[in-house]
Amino acid sequence: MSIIQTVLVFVGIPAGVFALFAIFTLGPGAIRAPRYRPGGSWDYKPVWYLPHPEHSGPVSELSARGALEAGSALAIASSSAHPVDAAVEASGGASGEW
Amino acid sequence: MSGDISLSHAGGNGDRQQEFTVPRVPAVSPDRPFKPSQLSRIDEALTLASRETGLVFSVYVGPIPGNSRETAEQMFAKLASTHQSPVLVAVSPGQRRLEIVTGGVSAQRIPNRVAALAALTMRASFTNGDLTGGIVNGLRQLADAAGEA
Repeated sequence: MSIIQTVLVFVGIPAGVFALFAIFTLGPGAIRAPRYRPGGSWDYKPVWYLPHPEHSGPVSELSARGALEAGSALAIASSSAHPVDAAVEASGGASGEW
Repeated sequence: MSGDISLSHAGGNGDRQQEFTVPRVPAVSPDRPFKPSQLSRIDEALTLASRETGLVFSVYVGPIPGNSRETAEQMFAKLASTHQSPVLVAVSPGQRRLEIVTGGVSAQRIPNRVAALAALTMRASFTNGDLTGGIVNGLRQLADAAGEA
């Protein structure tokens, strides 16, 4: 074996294997969106979700994101059909910090 | 956040605006806080809780400006103006604050003691960075306490 062949076999192959494992272990984490950590910042737009109206089909029939959008949209749309006679004031609940 | 707090239905049309301003959120955007799988869990928890109890559970995730309790109560009033017997769960991950607001029928069915317990459960998950789990467990606990419609 020439020097070049020796270097390729004993350095190139281990380095290649090392790189392969590095990609498999570090790759998924690099792609994934950053996870929320307590104390970290929250730079997303505010979201406010409502449930599906009572008479909609089972949740599983609808796609995940579509369901939520449809739910809130329908809830807003249907709210005009059932007007609330008197405004209810907040009178209870709980607060928390973490 | 500046200005009004608004009730968002994601991907909404401008023409569906009622009393609240509905911000236009694109269907897919990197600044959506939840992955589809997480959204699906929240959606299921919200829907089941509301269907079981007949109350309208609502989840807000975002900054709660000013005095968080007062702001949350204003948001609740907004919700109550269009929905019957609502329950608002407002979570501000940036401020690490959490508000559960009940009123009227929902206040009768969910005692403050139970709301505090649900808040404690949610805190436990939030402390571990699990926002979705906290919201889902909190909703389940509130719904269990409220009982069937």
